[in-house]
Amino acid sequence: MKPQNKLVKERKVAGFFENIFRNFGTIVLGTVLFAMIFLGYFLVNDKVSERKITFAASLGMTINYNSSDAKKVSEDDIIKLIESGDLKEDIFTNISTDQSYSNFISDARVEYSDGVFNIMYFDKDETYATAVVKEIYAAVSKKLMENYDIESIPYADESNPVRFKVTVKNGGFVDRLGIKDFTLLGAVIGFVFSLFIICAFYLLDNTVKNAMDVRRYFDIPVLAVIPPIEDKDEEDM
Amino acid sequence: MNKISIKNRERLDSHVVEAFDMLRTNIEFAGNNVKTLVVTSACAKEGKSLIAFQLAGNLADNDKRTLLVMCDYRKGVSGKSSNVMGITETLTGKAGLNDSVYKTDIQNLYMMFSGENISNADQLVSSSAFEKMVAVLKKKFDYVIFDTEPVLDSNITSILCSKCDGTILIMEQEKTRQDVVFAAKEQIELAGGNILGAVLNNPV
Repeated sequence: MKPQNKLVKERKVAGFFENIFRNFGTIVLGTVLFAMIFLGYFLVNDKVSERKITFAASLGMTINYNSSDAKKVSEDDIIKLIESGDLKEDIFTNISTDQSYSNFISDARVEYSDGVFNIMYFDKDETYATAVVKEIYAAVSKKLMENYDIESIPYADESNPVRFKVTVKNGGFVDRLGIKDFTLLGAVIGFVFSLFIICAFYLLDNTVKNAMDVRRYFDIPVLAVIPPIEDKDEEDM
Repeated sequence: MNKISIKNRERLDSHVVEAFDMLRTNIEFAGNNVKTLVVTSACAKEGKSLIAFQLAGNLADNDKRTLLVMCDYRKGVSGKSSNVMGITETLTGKAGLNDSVYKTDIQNLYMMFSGENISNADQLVSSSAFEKMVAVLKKKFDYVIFDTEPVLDSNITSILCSKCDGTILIMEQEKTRQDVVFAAKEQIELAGGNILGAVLNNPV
């Protein structure tokens, strides 16, 4: 490495953090600017808030059998029952949809845990999801009572029969973010970007900054540092 | 000797005057044998003409007979007036030295111009006639300051550096690149010039 390049490199390292400190205001400005841009995008763009946010209406039910040796219902039994189409007539009596049954029911889920069957339905419309999950519950209960030795199928949680949770169906990381998180993401991106720009400009800037640079890099004495003066037209001379 | 008038020589702020006083003092400290100076820079538009002029004026104000030679053939003053004699005319015999040196209305300050811009100006400057001319000027004046072209743009400057006692390299703060200064320094040293030091120009 040429001696002058080595000197330049040393100076760059020494002044790196000093440069960041001197340009801290610019970094803050960049952070705020990006945060505002992301916030504005979130507020203006309806599809960001509507496209991926889906409600999941969830209804838990427990099965009480008539006898202890009665055949037990499994999670798969209920899933097959729902998917088979046997419940179509009962569900579509009170639920209106343009979709085919198979498409409609593809947004339904069944989970079993600790003696409770959770039936869920995902939809953008909270009210619609609630209504559907209740219809599915009613239709499933009716069919199970016909085919199994069951005494009753009550709600798992009597005080809150339908639980809601906001979830993202088939969404990525950004889609799960709310307005605050989206703005924060913008701020983080702005901070990193501003920092990158400041550092890039610093590392690429190889102009002479002051008398110390002249002495250190070129081994030339500085005879004088001339402050700013008005330029003189040679015509006047 | 002919006379020229310098218009609008403005009064400088005190801190600027102090800076030029320091420059003059440091040049004087360089020794009594340093009488001919080349003021140059690595690139154009770095304020060397302004600094050369102000330095010459400062030396003149301090009772030093000073000759400022405008040796920039790219923007030769003679191009603006056919009556102005300069280095070219003196070295080609068209004019005598007395006809080419102009007295100004600033006491102790004299000026000389490049003269007609000719294609072989570098040959003229590297000739023995030029060396003789410089020797005569050194006897007549306390200081001879050559305001030249950028050293990386012209070989005339390199030749002048080798023939003068000292070279002052002008740099502009936050504009002049380090690699360019390295190249200029190398060029001057290769030509055998003696770099007295640098002047850092801090423009608005």
